[in-house]
Amino acid sequence: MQVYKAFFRIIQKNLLQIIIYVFVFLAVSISLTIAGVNPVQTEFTQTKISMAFFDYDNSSLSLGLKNHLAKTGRMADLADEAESIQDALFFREIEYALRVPQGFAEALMSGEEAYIEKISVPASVSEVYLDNAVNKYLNTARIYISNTEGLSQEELADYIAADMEKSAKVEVNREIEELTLSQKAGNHYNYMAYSLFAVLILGVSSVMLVFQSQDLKNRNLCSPITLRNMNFQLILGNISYAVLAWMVMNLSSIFMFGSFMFTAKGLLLMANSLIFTMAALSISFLISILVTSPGAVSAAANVVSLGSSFISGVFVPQELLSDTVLRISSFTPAYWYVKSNNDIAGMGEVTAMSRAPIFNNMLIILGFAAASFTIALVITKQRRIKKQ
Amino acid sequence: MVIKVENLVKRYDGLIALDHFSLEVREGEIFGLLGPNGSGKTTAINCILSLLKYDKGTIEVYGRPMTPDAYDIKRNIGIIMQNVALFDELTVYENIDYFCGLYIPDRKKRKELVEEAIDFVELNKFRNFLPKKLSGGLLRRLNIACGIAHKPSLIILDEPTVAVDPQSRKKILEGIKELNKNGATVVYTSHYMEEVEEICTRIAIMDKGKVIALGTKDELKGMIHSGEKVTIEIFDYSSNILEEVRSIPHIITAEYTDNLLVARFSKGKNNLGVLLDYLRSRQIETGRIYSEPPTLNDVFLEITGKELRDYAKGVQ
Amino acid sequence: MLHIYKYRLKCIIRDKQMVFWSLLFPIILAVLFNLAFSNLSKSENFKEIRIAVAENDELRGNPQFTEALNSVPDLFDVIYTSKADAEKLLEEDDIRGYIYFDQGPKLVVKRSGINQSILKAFLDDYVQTGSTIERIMEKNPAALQGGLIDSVSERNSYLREISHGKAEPDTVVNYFYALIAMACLYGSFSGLKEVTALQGNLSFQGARVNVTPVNKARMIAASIGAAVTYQLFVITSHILFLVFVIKVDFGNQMFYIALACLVSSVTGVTYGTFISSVNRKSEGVKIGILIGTSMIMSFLSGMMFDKMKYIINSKLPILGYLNPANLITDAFYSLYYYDTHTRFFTNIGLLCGYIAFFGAVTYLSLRRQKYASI
Repeated sequence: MQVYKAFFRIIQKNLLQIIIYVFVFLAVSISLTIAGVNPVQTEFTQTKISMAFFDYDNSSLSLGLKNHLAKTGRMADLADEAESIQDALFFREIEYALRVPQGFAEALMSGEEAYIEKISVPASVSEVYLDNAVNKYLNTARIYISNTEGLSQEELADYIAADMEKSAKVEVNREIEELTLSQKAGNHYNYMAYSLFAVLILGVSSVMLVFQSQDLKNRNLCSPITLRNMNFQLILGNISYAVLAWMVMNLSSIFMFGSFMFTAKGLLLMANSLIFTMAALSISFLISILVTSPGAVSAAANVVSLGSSFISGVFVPQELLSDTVLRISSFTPAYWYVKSNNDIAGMGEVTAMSRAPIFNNMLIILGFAAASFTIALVITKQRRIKKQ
Repeated sequence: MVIKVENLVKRYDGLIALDHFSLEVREGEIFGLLGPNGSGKTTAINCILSLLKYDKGTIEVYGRPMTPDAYDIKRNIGIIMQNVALFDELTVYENIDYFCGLYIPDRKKRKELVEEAIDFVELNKFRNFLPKKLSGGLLRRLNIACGIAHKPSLIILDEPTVAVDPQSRKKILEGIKELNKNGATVVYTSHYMEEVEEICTRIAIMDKGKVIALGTKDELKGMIHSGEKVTIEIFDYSSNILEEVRSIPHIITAEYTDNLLVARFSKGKNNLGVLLDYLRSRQIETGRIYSEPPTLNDVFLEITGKELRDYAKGVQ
Repeated sequence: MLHIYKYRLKCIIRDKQMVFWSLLFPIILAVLFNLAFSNLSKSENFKEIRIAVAENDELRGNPQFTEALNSVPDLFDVIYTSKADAEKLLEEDDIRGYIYFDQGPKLVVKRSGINQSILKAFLDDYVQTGSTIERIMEKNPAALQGGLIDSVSERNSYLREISHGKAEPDTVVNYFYALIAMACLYGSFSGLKEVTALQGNLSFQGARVNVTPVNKARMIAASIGAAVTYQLFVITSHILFLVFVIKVDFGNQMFYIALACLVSSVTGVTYGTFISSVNRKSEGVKIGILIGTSMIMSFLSGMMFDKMKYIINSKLPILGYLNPANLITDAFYSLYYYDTHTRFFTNIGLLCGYIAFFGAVTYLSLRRQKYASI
């Protein structure tokens, strides 16, 4: 098992480098998980959106509107100056700002056209929520105004407030904690698509680069170990490294989520990530054969891991990606991996039926592993023939 | 005095690499620094070039102290290092041009010099090749071209013929002689004694960071007791011959293995004749006969008790 | 010095693999980012949400609800079934949630997400409107004839969007700026390569070069110059790609953009020279440090998750000013967003400070011309 041992000796030599990678990428994915979910706010229990409310009307209605909005937004204390607003939006100290002009309530009460000025970060979910809240409040006002007579502003404000108090009851047929935990874990494992992949590519290449050096290759070809045996040992070395990396990553999730990782769902997540590791490994192997200069390897690592993660729903959730993108990303193992993770996180109970699609996806991922591996073997064979 | 080194001491973590090493190189000579691997030759060279820090001692080149920013001195030095120091991305021509350009800013003059250098090492056919396409010998020739293109007055070569084919080696040695004829002072380090013997005018033998012998090759050989070494093929052997051979005057040692009688004489005249007379007198038939004058290896052997080559086996 | 510059540039360009990847990787990533974000602002791509409604007496007693559902046919894909069946459908993930009436409408979901939030919003709206209608009927029973229903179904917008500056704050464009920053930091590899070729204890070429009569400072300057030239070429082509192919908005200030490119490229290269001249470990470790730190810096400037930038800014603002990737990203972003240039020049100024620092340390470390060992 000389080659196998040599593999690990080289890993030992490059240990510092590899540790840097593991540490950095693990830190990134843990921070992302802690910082909270997705770039787009999709959580049910919304965090409050920072906003500014400039009231030049100071009427009961405008006050009522402000209170109504305070349910969804957090009011920031800001001066109504162009520069401070610009700065606040730049730094996302606020995402939304409203300016109620003087005489707004009056105009509204008399049925005239009235507008509130809005400044916001466009195309954000927060904008939609707040727009909705504002319009709901004001439309309700309009309904009252056009269908009743002799209503004072204070009364109106009270009625609207009372109406807005009502809401539909929501039941989640799971425990909220379990829900949040599953989703957090699911997200964490999604980020692993990026971090695990990057660690594998960088680690595998740094070792395989040594074995690829021409002189070493020729030297090894003269030894009494058959080529097949040598390749077998190399592959075994790669697999061992991959499993080690996988274990380290999973240790982090056990650390973060504790006993959840040992429930059926947690175990599924772990199993899924192991399958993905295999696919990532074969692709890393393929890359290490094609790319030989170390600077180029880092670029390749980024393109493959970061790029595929972006289009597969790691950073932008799959729900928000267009069909074309999803079709393209379905050609990467990350897509299937993320899909499975999301399904697992969203499952009620783990039944045979709910497991089935997960296993299907796993097979697809393994297909990727087999495919890249075969391509890699073909290429090495071609190269050998060319030499002769 | 081109180079003057006095009492140079250099330690690596407690290991002494240069132990009060002193040296003087005069203008116009080909000075050889001979010693086994690990004796400190390269270390000495690197100190002289101001590449290495040293703990004690002084170094002067062309009468002035040698420091890293002694640019005017460096302008006159050409260096050919043990490890081929070329840029893989540049062709043969470009490599020579680059290094020459660090000495000779004038473009026209440089162009001539580069052409001359290429001719000198006979790499014309390869001028647009990249280093990875060249064999070891050709690479060494390129290495040399890069070092001498600017026609320096002091040329330092550190083991330039390691792993070089015989043809290239011959060319290199001839080239050095020619450069010397054209006025350059040469410092040549090696652990191959045949080369040093062939071209060097004065030789210093080094071991364990010290100079253990210094002089022309005749002077060096004169320092030791050994005279010639005689090897005679003898088929008919009886044990008391050896004893008797050993009692022949001037004989230092005598051994018999594999049908060969090897006898070392100390200085004296007609040693071979005396031995042959003795054998004839005992009617012992002889086959081939070799007589070799003492070599630098013998000098080394006598001074240190070891062969130059023994070191090459284990150390480094 | 031009001589050295020329040859170093040749050495850089002839490393085909490096050239290929350094040009290509930002472009590929930009294309992929673009794909991933292309859908964010499009609402046409919105799919109907599958839900179920449990049939019972109470539902039948609230025909307005069914009408309300029918009034938004594009929003929901409704299945009417029994409560038990609806529960099963939810379990099987066939529907996103179901509604049943039990003293008012109730919503059952399995997880939280955009779809579920939309469902809740719809139901809330229904309940609140119901309360309004009830109250009006109380006050004014004749309202129904007076067009109450019509005024309920009418929906006005009372908001008028105004712009407050040159451009809208944009989430997507920041990702591209962060990508530019990452590409600039990638130039640190060129810096590493140059230092290796200059150092006697890092390469044989370096040793030889140290014996020549060339002033070290000039060598460093020429080598860095070559690396920066190449880097500038890479970044400029990348930005051109972003402008003309991906159509990212940079504002229109050619001169300032060029200045930002120049300063960012030099920062990347000198960062590389800094890291490689300061530490004595193997090349592999240096590469590891470069990759690791670039990744972290890019991450903190919002490349994977743009809110990261804002989190840093609110929790630890000094970090934002210390992170070169963030400075580069911000420089471009402030060009795009602000009318004035104060912020832009603040960023450029800080980057120049970094350049001075990296350059000085590089020079001081490389100036050490005698080595303890080669």
